[in-house]
Amino acid sequence: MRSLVVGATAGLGRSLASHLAARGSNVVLAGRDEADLQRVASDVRARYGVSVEVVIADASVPIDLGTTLTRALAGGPIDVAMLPLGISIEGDSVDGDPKRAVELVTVNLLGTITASMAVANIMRTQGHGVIIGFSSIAATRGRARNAAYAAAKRGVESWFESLRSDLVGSGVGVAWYVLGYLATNLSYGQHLPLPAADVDRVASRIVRQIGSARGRQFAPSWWRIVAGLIRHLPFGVFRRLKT
Amino acid sequence: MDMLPVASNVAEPLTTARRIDHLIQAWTARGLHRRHAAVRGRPSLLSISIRSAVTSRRRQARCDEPSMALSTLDGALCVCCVVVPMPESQPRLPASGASASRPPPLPTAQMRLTSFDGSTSVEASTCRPDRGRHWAALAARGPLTIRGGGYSYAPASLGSESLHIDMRAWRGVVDFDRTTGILEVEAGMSLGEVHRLASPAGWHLPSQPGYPEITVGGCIAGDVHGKNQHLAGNFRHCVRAIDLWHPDHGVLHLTKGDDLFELTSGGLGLTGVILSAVLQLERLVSHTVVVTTSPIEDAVSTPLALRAGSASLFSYTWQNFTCRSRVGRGVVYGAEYSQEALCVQKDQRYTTLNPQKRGWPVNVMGYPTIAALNAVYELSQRFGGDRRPVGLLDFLFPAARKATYFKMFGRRGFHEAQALIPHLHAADYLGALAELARARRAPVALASCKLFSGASKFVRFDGEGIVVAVNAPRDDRGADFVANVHRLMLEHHGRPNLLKDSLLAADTVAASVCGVDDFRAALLDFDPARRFRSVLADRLGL
Repeated sequence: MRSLVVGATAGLGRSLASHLAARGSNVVLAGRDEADLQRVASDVRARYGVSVEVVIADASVPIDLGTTLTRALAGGPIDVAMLPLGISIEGDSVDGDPKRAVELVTVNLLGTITASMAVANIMRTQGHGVIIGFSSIAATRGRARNAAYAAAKRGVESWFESLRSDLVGSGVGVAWYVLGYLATNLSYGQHLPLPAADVDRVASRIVRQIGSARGRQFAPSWWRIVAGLIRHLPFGVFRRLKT
Repeated sequence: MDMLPVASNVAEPLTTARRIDHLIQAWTARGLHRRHAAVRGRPSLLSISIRSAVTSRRRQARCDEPSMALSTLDGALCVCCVVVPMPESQPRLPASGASASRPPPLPTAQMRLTSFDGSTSVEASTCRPDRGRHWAALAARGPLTIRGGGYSYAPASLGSESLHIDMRAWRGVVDFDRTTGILEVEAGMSLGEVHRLASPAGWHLPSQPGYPEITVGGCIAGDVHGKNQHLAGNFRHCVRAIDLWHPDHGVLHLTKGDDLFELTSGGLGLTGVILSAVLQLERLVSHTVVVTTSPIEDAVSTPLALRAGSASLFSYTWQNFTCRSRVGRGVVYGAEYSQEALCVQKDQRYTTLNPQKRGWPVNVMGYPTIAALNAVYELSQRFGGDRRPVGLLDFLFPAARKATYFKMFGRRGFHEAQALIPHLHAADYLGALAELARARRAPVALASCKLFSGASKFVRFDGEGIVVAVNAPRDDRGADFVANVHRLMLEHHGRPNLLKDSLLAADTVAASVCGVDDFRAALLDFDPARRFRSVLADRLGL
């Protein structure tokens, strides 16, 4: 088994790489920071004894990301592709810095699109594989805060719906996870109204469900209820929520 | 390039630093940016002073870090400096492959942090670096306090106005050679994780404290010990090398024998951030250990009983100091590997002790409760069988399943006083301690002794003798008892463990720890700005 994780330098991506390797999968780690990727590679290799490839790829240049992945994956079949790539920015609001908003959407949405296109082409040819994308609870409903982040993640969901439709009958499975709060540096120091989940537990569940989960999933699963509530709140109430 | 002799047979680091500094200044003034200098002396000592001089010159002259190559040539240490003026100065940071892109944010959090013994609580600003480029963000911040698991009893990982660096996300494996048992890990890795990684491959750490959530970096900074100290020594004995990051010096690779390695091992986290460590593990003979118990009749006979079991895998005592007669009676524990087939302990669970939410709402450890608990425990140990098999986890981490004990002290916590008493005075000290406990009906919740062997340097808790530890509730009666324990310790030439005892005063430490002045001077020499602080260091004037 050979798995790809794009955005493996820290947080959920790093943990997914570790859990994939723990199940005996060789891993291809893609990310922007070579030193951090090498740290993850050493860790995975030393713990699980699997083969680890490191691919330096920058999602802020989405076309390059796609071609880099296509080239890097040419060495053999790829069974699983996980795409937890993304950044967040300070002051992500409608009146924020347009350059930073473009940077965020470029990485989070366009980077995901080009990466999944590259992987989908390979998997369609080989006739099997699973592609897993990552959205966020923030995308459930747009708010004044995290505006560009939510828009990009909503775009990711839409893209993965299209991807799923397109790959029906090809032997390639598609799933995307709507993530609740995770205890990573993205949420560190924030006063959150609901508990942040342990990243390792979430990653462990996602890896366990590779063979079965298809379509939209929530992680942790109880966020499905929260998302339902948020979706049905009247606008006047929703806009007053501080979270 | 030309060779310029700086000094010959220089052994004094400050002199060397000054001479190197003058040399670089002269080169810069003359517009000479690439020069060699040859210095004679101990390479480990000189490398520190040269780095220090070069860094200080860089800050003053707003130069890029002069690249340095240290090598030995004909018995001399050569330093090659390339000094290039730059608009901005940046110390060397952990290598990063994406310098052009925007660094990932390093968020900070405000939280209340409390020392494990409950003595000190601070409103702290904390961050949790998990990427190489986070160190760049930290280089401009200060003062800094480093935190691992937060299990040091005294407030060594708390700072009054510092940014606290939580190292627990920096916990990867760098390399593990399963044939030689050489394990390189990042410093935020916990001992429990080292155990989970190493024991299936047939290895274990030869020396470690009793709780699995303690980090490797914390063990090095505290130069901690286990219950087998007389055989394995302190933690530094299994450390071959460390990578240390300091905002002004960048990343320094230190190996055993380097002066800065010696200063950092047991340096209480005041020399910089330990990023990673190379550990030499020991072969695991079995996954099961047979623990033996034998009785001790009173406090004075403790040293003899400990020495009788000194060949054992570990040797320590549990003693009852709240009984009416033969105060200090109890048991001495020994251990040997089981000769039966390897059988991995199935139950690897343990209660997580959160230092921030440790206590029950009330302290139930009054004198009557303590006396009753001690009596019951004594009976169970003395008459519960003298040989029992114990799983490896319980053997390596005896405190892992004893979380309730610490919780019973309530939210105010407890006092611990731990002192190393020379063999010559150990029996007298224990006799005096027993008399003190009896006369004052002291609430001694735990009294334990173990053998120690080694040599002390700086403020490390090491040396030859017997270590005596006592716990008491954090109240006036407990504080009065501990104050008297300090007096007895001084009378019997003991040495206190700074990491365990929050009631130690600076003058007690000055009178009992002979390396304090050397430690302070060496720290100042390496880090004149003293970028790393802690409540413990401030209180003891370190």
